[in-house]
Amino acid sequence: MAELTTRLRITPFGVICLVGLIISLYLSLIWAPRERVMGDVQRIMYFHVATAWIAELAFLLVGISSIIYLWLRERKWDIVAYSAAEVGFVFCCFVMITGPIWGKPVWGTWWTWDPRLTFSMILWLIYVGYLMLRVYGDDIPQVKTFLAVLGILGTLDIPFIHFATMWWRGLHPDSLVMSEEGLGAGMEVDMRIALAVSAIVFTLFFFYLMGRRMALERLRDETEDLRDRLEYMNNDNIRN
Amino acid sequence: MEVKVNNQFTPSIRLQNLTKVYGRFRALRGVNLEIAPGTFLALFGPNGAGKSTLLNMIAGLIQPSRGALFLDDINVTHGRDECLGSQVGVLSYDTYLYDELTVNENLQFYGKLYDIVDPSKKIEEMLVAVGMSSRSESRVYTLSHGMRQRVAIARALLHDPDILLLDEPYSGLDQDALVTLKAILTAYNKTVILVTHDLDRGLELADRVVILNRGYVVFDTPKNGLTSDQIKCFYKEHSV
Amino acid sequence: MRYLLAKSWQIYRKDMIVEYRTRERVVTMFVFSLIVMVIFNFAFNIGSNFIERVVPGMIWVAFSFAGMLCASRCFASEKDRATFDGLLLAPIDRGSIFLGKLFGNITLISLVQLAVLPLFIIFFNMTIFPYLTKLLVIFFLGTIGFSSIATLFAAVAINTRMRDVMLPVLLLPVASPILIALVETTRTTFEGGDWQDMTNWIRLLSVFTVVFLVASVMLFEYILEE
Repeated sequence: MAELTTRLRITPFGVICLVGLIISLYLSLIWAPRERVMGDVQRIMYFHVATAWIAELAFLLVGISSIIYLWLRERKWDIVAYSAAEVGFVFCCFVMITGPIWGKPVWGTWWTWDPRLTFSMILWLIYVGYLMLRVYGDDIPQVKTFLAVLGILGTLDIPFIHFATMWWRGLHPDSLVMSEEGLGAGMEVDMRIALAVSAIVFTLFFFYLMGRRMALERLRDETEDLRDRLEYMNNDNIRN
Repeated sequence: MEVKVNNQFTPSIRLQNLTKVYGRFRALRGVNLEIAPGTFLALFGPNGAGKSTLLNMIAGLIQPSRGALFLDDINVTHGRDECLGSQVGVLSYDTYLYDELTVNENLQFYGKLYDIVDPSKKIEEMLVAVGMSSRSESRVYTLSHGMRQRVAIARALLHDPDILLLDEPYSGLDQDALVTLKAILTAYNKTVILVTHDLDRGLELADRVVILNRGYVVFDTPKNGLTSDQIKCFYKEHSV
Repeated sequence: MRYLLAKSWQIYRKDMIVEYRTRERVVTMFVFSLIVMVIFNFAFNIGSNFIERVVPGMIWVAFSFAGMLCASRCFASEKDRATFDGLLLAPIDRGSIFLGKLFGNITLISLVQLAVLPLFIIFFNMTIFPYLTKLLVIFFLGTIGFSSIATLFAAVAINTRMRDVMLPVLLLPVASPILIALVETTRTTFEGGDWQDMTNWIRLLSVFTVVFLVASVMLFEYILEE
């Protein structure tokens, strides 16, 4: 069993996630009752809401680990921040895609500037800025510090974005989307269960992906280290 | 270990295994140097050897990746008190002068930043010493390169630094300026670290010669009658 | 603290003298704002009934782009002329550099705002005299908040390969709450609204400004290390 795990590179946690995802898919797509007004397309909500909340959680993680990185200056916290950002970005993209897919049949339009979507859009742009800084700044030594600063400011920003986008469109817009997400009122018990399961499973899945990303980064570091030492030895030979 | 030289204080400098890595490029590799107070050290080496990096590190502009830097047994590796900034005077090919301001305004600005008491008097002294007092009200952009370098010399010495760091100061200087600089350096009796490609001039005033190559110290000896030809031979032998 | 401010004042003063002699930033910012005005006019084909809806947004697009230009240039010129190291070598707190640059940016952006606003009034036939104080307060608050993060991100952006181009990408998403607040308060003011009509927005504006001003001052230190 252990050998199988190593060869297939799946950890026990990964297996749990996989099982969880299958269960969640079943609950969301088959088990949960069909929504009266919107029909089956409403089932996207289970994934859309879960990933939306994770996209926010991920950036919060970026912010916290950025603060710790600036304080302790340990590479591992930079790895945590960057991995959270990359995986969080993927989840955020998922939100941006499922939103319109859900929206078109329901609202008749691909996009509305409602607070939820606008918030996600701005968050997505902050993610993009963060990743771009990493890509276009990889040749400068202070890039990790820059990223940490951006991460902290972005996280500080989140409550402001939340309120600004909410007030911009009137205080409490009463679309079905908002009321379902906000309080879970307007949803049957079964739907709430499916949603809760979905949220938990996707969160686990996020941490699984993040773990893998961090492992990849650590491997990269190790390779660099080995390369360093090899070069060092070569140079020592040249010197002597 | 402070040494009072002519009633003026100058600190000892100690570099301990100083390493600086920029991504994959190693600018400095484990440099160990002990510089006694009052030493005039000439630092030679080919381009890319790490000379400027070393100077910048002593100046406090760059932090080492590994190793430690001590000024008078105070560990300044990870940053220093602002007041220690006044210990160091830097003369580089960048003049640090603002084109649109006059010579006097530039020096007044730096005078205030360095907390010099009665800056005007000191500025006048320095300008006379470098032969630029007639142009004190000229805007810097009207000056030739040689003249700007002379003002830069005044700027570097304005606050009576305890350590003088010179990075290619002879480049672009006219005959007059060269004479002036030599006179000033001869009169200056505190620690000097001079980086230059001009072997003859470098050797003129030096007490000690260090050669850097590819981030390593490859040669470190008191001057003792060393000639520039000998150094050129050494360069060739070690394909430096 | 006074020590910090004294050094900031020196840097601020130096920057203002340089700017006074070259006028490079204010002129570019002013012209840029005018261009934005003209382009928006064509883009939105404004008839007189839509003015109040569009002009607040237009004003703040113009000011935010001018603001980015200003922040970008304040570090770019130091880096291009290699005078930045001169500041770093001096025995001053890094925070003084930030504050000096920040005050400079706020001053220049405010000057441009004061110059451009009358033009907006003229070109779009708006009445703002009754609301002048409100507008000035909003502009001032907003400028401080926006400039804080703009100055900080400009210091980051100037160190990257892409330099100035990086600034909008980093700054604008983070600045969106304050920009939204500024547009909304400006719009409410133009429509004759009173302070109580926009308490939420003013609150957001103020808190944002304070939080990000403090955060920027604290984080600037880290940006300068190498």
